[in-house]
Amino acid sequence: MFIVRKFCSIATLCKTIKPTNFTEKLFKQQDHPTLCLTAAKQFHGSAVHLREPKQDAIVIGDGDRKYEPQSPYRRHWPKRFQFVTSTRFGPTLPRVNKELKHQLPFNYKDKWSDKSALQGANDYIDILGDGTIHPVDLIKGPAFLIGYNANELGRLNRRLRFEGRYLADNFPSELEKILKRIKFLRKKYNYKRGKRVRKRFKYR
Amino acid sequence: MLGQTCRKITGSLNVSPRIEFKRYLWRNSICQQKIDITLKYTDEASGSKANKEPTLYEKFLKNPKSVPLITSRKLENCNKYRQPRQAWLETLSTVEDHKLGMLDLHPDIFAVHPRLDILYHNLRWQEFYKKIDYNWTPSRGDLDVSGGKQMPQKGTGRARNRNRSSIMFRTGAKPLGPKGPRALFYMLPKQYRVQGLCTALSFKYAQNNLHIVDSLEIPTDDPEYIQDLIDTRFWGFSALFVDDTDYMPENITYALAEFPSYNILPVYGLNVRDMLKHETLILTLAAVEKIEQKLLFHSSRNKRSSKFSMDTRYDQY
Repeated sequence: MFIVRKFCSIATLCKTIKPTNFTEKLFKQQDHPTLCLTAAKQFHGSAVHLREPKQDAIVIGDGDRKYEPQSPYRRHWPKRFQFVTSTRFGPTLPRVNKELKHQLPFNYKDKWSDKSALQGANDYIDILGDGTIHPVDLIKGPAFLIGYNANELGRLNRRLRFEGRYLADNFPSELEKILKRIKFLRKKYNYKRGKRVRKRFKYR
Repeated sequence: MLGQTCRKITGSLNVSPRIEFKRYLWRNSICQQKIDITLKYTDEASGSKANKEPTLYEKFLKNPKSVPLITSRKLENCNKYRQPRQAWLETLSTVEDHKLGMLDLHPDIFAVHPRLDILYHNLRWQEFYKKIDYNWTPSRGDLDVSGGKQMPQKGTGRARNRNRSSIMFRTGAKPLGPKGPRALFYMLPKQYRVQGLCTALSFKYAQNNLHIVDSLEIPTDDPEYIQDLIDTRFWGFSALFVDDTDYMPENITYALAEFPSYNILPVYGLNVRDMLKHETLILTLAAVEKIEQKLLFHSSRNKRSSKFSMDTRYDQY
């Protein structure tokens, strides 16, 4: 019963209250001499602001007979006007009047270019075609990697099988690096792996 | 024996007075009266020649192109418990939408259960199987650096060290970085890829984005013709035309060259990723027959696909 009464009373009182307009507040602060110094005050907030009385209070009578009825929404003002200080600020200010230097151009990706519109063409050519062509033939890259996926040891050994003679004749230093790496990986994969494999000894 | 007795009973039942009385009741009931009324009016309407509409057959005799014909397509190995799906046969020869007939589509290709996991696997495979990662970071042995000590062990205020190639240095090695050109190649089983195509086609059919056309021939070379055609039929912002062979008609190639979102492919270039990227799919009749034949052949084939291995590609090893 008590709860129902409370709701009823609140509903009737809500009609008498006039909500403040947000724009009115802004214009007031702009007109005020001390407050209009900060540019984006509404967004940012300031350390110092004035407390002003609300204009939505209920006042009955004029002159000496002026009084405010007791209500849960009565205002507590007029009080002594005071300055309020706070150390809390809002978010950072936008750089409105600043010039942006070293601005990188934002390039939109062309999703309908010749390359990206028909990117997956001929992937099902062994099903929908004669059967002589395999989608592996579409891959472009070094010959020792087409149709081959293995760990580093396998890749290096296969590279030697394909390009060993060429490297020995023209790039001996690179060949030496490959052989060193193979020696290291052979030991790592075969002697230094246990039940629980740490990141260091994974097959990469 | 049982059948003979049943026939005797049914013969006797039709003659029994109880059933004849029921028939008498039914004929005098309201339902039957309504049926009689409708039949009478239809007869009267067909009798009078003033408001008579020409029948389909009469229309066909005058102009065979004005009447939509139901063409029955032969479907091979159709499951008798699954009904074939139907689609209109349209044209590109006019901007307006004229239907030439109705076709039957195989349910095992155009009415497959919508499996999103198969679509996902196909898309991922299409993206990754061609990739080769060229990132490479040097390890300690790969750096061309002298093996001498950089600074004395003690005396300097700095940390102790040996080589310039150590990990602690800024210009040193990266211990577990990417190593070498690496291929992200793998092959999906053939059934996954076949079913991927079937699910994509069935999605397009179910969502009203699939249109079948007699051929891709166009009267003019103008790109505005195609734009008007697609706008009137509400085919969307992107369309994929699929023909039987590589050789395309001349006019359509010039017309679609100016639109990046309208593309042409032959049948062997069809794939899941392009079907989902373009809004509408437009197939020719010959392409439909070729697709059905190929997909049914491979879906029922149990032979293990020839792997890319030394057995089949000896010349590359």
